[in-house]
Amino acid sequence: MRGMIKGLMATATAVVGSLVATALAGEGNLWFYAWNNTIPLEVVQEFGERHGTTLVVDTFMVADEAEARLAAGRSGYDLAVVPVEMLPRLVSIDALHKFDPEERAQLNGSHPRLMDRLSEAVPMASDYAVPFLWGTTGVMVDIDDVLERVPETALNSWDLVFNPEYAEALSDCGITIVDAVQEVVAVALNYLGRDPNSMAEDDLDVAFDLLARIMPYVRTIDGSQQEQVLQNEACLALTWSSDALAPQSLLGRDEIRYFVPQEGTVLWADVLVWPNESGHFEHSHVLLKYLNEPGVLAKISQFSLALTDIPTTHEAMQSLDLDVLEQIAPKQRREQLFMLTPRTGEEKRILDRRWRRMQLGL
Amino acid sequence: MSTLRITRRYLRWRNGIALSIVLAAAVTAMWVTMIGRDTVATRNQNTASVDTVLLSLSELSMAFQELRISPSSQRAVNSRAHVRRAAHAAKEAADTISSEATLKTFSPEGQGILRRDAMNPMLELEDVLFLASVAVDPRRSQNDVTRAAGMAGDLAMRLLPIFNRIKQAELAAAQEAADKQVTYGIIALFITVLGIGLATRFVHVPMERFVIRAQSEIERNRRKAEAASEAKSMFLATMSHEIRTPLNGVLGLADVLKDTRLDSDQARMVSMIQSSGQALLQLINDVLDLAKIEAGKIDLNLEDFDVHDLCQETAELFSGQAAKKGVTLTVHAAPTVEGWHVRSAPQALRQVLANLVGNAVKFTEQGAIEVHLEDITTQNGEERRLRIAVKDDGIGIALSALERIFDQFEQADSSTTTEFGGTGLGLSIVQRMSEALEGQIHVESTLGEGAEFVLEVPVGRAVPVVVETKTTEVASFDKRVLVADDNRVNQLVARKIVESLGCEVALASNGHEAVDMAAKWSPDIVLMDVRMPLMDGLQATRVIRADQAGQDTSVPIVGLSANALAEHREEAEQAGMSGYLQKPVTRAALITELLRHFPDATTDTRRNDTCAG
Repeated sequence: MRGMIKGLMATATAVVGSLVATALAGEGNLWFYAWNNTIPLEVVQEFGERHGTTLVVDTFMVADEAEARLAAGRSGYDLAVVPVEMLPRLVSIDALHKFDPEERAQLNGSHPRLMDRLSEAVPMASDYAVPFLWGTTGVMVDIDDVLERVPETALNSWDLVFNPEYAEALSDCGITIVDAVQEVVAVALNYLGRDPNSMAEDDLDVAFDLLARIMPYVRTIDGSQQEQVLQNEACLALTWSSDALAPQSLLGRDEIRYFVPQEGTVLWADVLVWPNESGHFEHSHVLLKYLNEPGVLAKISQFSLALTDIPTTHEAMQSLDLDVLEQIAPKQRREQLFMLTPRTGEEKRILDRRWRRMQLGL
Repeated sequence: MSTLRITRRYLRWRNGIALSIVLAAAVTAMWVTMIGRDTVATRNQNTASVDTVLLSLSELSMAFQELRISPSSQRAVNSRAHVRRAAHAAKEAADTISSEATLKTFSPEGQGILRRDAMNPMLELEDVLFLASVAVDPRRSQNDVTRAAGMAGDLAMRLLPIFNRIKQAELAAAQEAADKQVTYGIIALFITVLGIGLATRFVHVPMERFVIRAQSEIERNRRKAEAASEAKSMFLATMSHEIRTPLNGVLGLADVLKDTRLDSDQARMVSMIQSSGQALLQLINDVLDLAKIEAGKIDLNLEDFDVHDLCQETAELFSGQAAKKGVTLTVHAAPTVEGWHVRSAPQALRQVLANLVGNAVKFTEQGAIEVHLEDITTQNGEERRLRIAVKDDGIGIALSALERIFDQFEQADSSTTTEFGGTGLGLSIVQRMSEALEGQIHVESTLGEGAEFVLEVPVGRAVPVVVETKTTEVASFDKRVLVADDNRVNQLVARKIVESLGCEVALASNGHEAVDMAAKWSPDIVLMDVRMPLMDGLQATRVIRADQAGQDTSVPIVGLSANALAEHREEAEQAGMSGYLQKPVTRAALITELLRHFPDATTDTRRNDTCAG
């Protein structure tokens, strides 16, 4: 789950109707499909007030869920958020519209370094995607519980996750891993000193071997790491920065920390896409424009604890603790961040099957 | 015949094409309709398969959910059973869908989804089923079952919208197919109409034209043939008339000459002139008969007569010839209850018999010729039937020739003509005459062993009368006879015969003279040639009859003509003639005619050649 869970701020499937019907009245609701807990309620409300129509935010917790939904077509979403590496697969099944380059250019004052990496990893992103949120994949820990069981750790290495001894030691307080096979395999390969994006048979064997060894001590593989740690069902989680930072930043739970391991990790990017066979052409444009407004982006960034790619928003992001920013992508480790190479449907299926069999000890 | 064959082939060919076109159109129409039907049926089947998968996936996700929450509870046992059942149904449906044969029948959109690489629903479904098999495996740990059920449940849930999308695609395609069905129906109708149109335009209409053209051609030919036949008959009648006239002179004079004082050589030569003339006459008569028959103008004068006598008379005609060759010619009559007095056409019957007997004599060198007369009237038969057989011991007829000997100008073989002479018309006349008499003629013969011609003919029952035979042997007349004929030879012939009977003769060369003489000279009888210059015999007769109107008695006028057709006889009677003689006029025929008009002149005295006055 990229986002956070908090009773007061929970906006899962936020539906806010507006009393003022103006520009888009009579054309039905606007539908937006995004990660769970990434869009704050006030953004939704503001859209309704401004456009006199209802913005419905539908959410997902696992990327595969979104991929399946968008792959089915006729989703009815005017815009959707997906991890950028999923883009080529969706394009291959004709599930997405291209954005108008001119319109897209007006929206984007992309952060040069991040944008470069995005284009390098997924060239077609420039046609089909508008960069939205950024973050890293790392380790979320309940410091007290972890240090109690593994006192010698410096809380800076993937060792804490991948070393079976540590895993065994931590198994009683709970280990949970995000259900994102490509990211997990990539960090495992990276930890092993191999190419994180390798699909070579022996590389995969080694990676899955590593994972299989810690699997007996893993409690869950799903999309609710934050919830499990907050509720003391887990003390160690392999998860996303946005997910991991919320307890400390927003709830003041200082014992729950996130770190980017020194070996390097995944720099992930979520992008806005325009699903094929969506409801209204006009809706998509209005929503795209709205979501890219600096003020709106700032609110989303603050709420989701993810980076946006528009420099002009930095001022608006002053409330986002620089410390938090540093935690997401520490300056001294930015060189070790890598992006995921898109996988074909076939490659994805190979990974999925090994992932499932590995979980079942097969 | 070959034209007929061509026509038949043409019609069959054309008909075949027409039927083929219509058949092809019907088959195409049917095929077009079937395509539509198949498409709709396939869509329905595909939708049903996808529905099964959808239902199974729903059941699976619910069962997986239960398994995940409480893998070891009592309810989990039930859930496992659900999983097994739903997985089985899903597997079967999936197998159906994934077979290439079925896959091909999905709509393009459905196929696109089923065949695609990313998020391929069939491959993902395989994983669901694999995970299901783990989840229900009792050897698995509780942890594994929970995990497998969790993964399978998530995956099953994700697959639902994709399969639903396939179903939507199939339903849309089915709707489209249903719409197309209407189009197909219209196309099928159009094809059928087109087929009928093509068949009509290119086959039936030309065929109709062809048949009409052929019919009019047949009609034209028929008219032509009729005209030609008529012309032929006219030609023959005219020709025979033209030949008879001089022949009349030859024969008549020979007849007269024979009664003069001649030495033996002269007598023989006169006899030869007579027989040659007779042969020529016979030939002309044959040709004329045939012409008459073909023109449908056979003279069937029904009379009461004795058929046995007729047979004997006919046989007698040839008895001389037969005797010369040493061949016996006999007539045998089987016993009959009713007697041989019958009603029929004696002339025709005589002609048939004469031809048959004549042939028999001609072709028999030795042995016997027998004429058998038999009454074959059946016991309950209303009409009498006679059987007249002429059997000879002659050369016989080859089997191959039997069929065509009744055809005109046909003899058994061409050498026959050379050896025996003849025109080849005799048997043809025999057959036509027999047919005219409503009888049948047939022949049985073996080459070298003689032949038997059999005539079976129906006859009427005659009123029995006692026939008084009159002799014409000796007659003497004392009458004034006016002979009107433009031909000097014929004038002479008539005059000589009449004078030899003791009559006084006056001559007229045309109708006018005849009328004058009839008025001035008051003849007892006029022999009037029908065809004469200035005024013909018929017209002259009418004038004479008109002049005599009101008188008590009228002079008998006997027409003389070489024209043998019956209609001429009728014409003569209508003009007022009292009799009609066919040229060449013989002494015997003339005496008979005179006796008819002057029965009292008959004497039984010895022949007296001198005229009384």
